Formats: sequence, C-alpha cells, structure tokens
Amino acid sequence: MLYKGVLWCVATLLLGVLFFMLTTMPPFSPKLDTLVQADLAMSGVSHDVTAVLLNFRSLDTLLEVGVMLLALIAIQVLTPHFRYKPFTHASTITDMYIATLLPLIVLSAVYLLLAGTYKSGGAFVAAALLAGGIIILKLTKPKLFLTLEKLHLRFLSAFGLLFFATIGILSLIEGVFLQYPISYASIVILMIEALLMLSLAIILASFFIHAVQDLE
Amino acid sequence: MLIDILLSFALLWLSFGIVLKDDLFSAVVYFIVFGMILALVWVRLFAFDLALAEVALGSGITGALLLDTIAFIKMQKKKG
Repeated sequence: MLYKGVLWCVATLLLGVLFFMLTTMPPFSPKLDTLVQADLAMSGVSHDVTAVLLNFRSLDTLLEVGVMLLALIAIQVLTPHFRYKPFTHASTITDMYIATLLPLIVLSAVYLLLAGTYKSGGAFVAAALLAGGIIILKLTKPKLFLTLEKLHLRFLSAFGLLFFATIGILSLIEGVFLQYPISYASIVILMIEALLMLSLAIILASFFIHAVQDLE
Repeated sequence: MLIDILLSFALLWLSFGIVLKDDLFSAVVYFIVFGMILALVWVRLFAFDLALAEVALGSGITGALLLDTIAFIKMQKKKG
C-alpha cells in the first residue's frame, strides 16, 4: 500500500514537472528549419532529417552509436550470470512463417536505408527492422546461432562505428572532423548508413541474443 | 481531430496500466500496446521514421526482452 502511494506521488510529481516544462518551452522557431533548408544542397542528401543526422550533426550520431556499443559490452559482461534454456517453438508453421517474413524484412530494411536519402527512413530504422528479423530467427531457429563465431560477431557490431570514426579521421586531413567534401558527400553518407545499419542491427539483436543464451 | 483525442486518452490509460498493474505479464502487454499506440501518434505527427523505430524498438525488441525477463523471473521462482 505504501509502495503504491509512493509510486502515485512520484508519478504525479513527474507529470507536474513535464507539464511545467511543456508550458515553459520556448516557442518553435522556424529559424533552424530555414538554416537546414539553406544548406541542404551541400549535404549530399535531399532529406532534411538525414542531412542533420549524418552531415550537420554527424558527431552526435557517431556518439549515439558509441553509446549503443557500450550498452552491448555491458550486457556481454553481465550475461554469463544469467544463462538458461530459453523457451522456443519449432514447427512447420514457424518455418513457413519465417521463410516468408525474413526476405520481406530484409527487403524493407534495404528499402528504408535507400529511401533515407530523400525521405523518412535511414540506418536506425532499417537496423531496428533487421534486428527484429534476427530476433524472430533466434526464437524459431535457435540452433543456427550455436555455430556463430563470437569474435566475428563482435567485430561486425563494432564495424559501423569503426568505419564512421575512420571517415571522421580521414576528413580531418582535409579540414574539419566529419566534414565530408561536397562531391563525395552522398556516397560517403550512403556507405556509412549501410554499415551502420548492419552494425546496429547486430548490436540490437545481440541485446536479446545475449540475454537469452542457451545452456550448453 | 477526434482520433487524436482518442489516441492521447488511450496513451494515458495504458501508461497508468503499465505502472499500476500488479501482474507483471499484463504490465508488459500494456507496455507493448503503449508502444504501438505511440507509433500511431508519431504517424499523426507525420514522423514516419520515428513511428517505425518506436514499433521496432519500443514495442518489438523491448517487449521481447521484457517478456523474456518475466520468463526468467518465473523460472528463478520455481527453482526456489
């Protein structure tokens, strides 16, 4: 009873703080939008969100990927204490289900990745979709994952960040960190996004796969 | 307009459910449905990429992890 009372108080307090912040928020300024639109031609992509994420504020994206990698490392450190046999189903129904679903998931992930250059989409969304596919595969065909090389997987999950940072260092030769030359910008962004998608998908799926590990 | 009001009330109701349900399993189900309704809200705000990420990460992966956590807790309890 006391526990619930405390919970209510905290929730009400949080609601109050959120409401206060909502009412005192500075009004939406169209200035940022005009700034982005003005420089969009220089970014190498034609969608404003992708331009901000992978060109104007690419350092933030780089660090974000770093945070996810750190989270994965933390989980990998913890999991040996939490090993148990997961509950899995394997039947002809699930076999047919994943045989139809997985190609569709991969196709839509690639589409989202490519669409990111001119409309909503991009590496993060595509990676989330792919990771979902990998988790479904893990739940229906757990034996596939027993033969995976842990070292390869670790390398792959860090590869996106490594490539991103390498591009940043290479751009340092020409000028500023992570400022791509305009003529290469679109191809560089697409390469970064493709590798980020792979790495992030593996990181996100590993969150689940490492938490749900088979007893050997 | 009406759908926006309905969606926001659904979100409020679901969030209360997440916090106040005693049964862990129903709290997790509330959480997953919350993610899906929130994705609809993002769609209403024309943020389709956020909507997809919300469904895949918020509902899908987090939901799967939480369900797995429940299975783990139940198993630990059985062990004693």
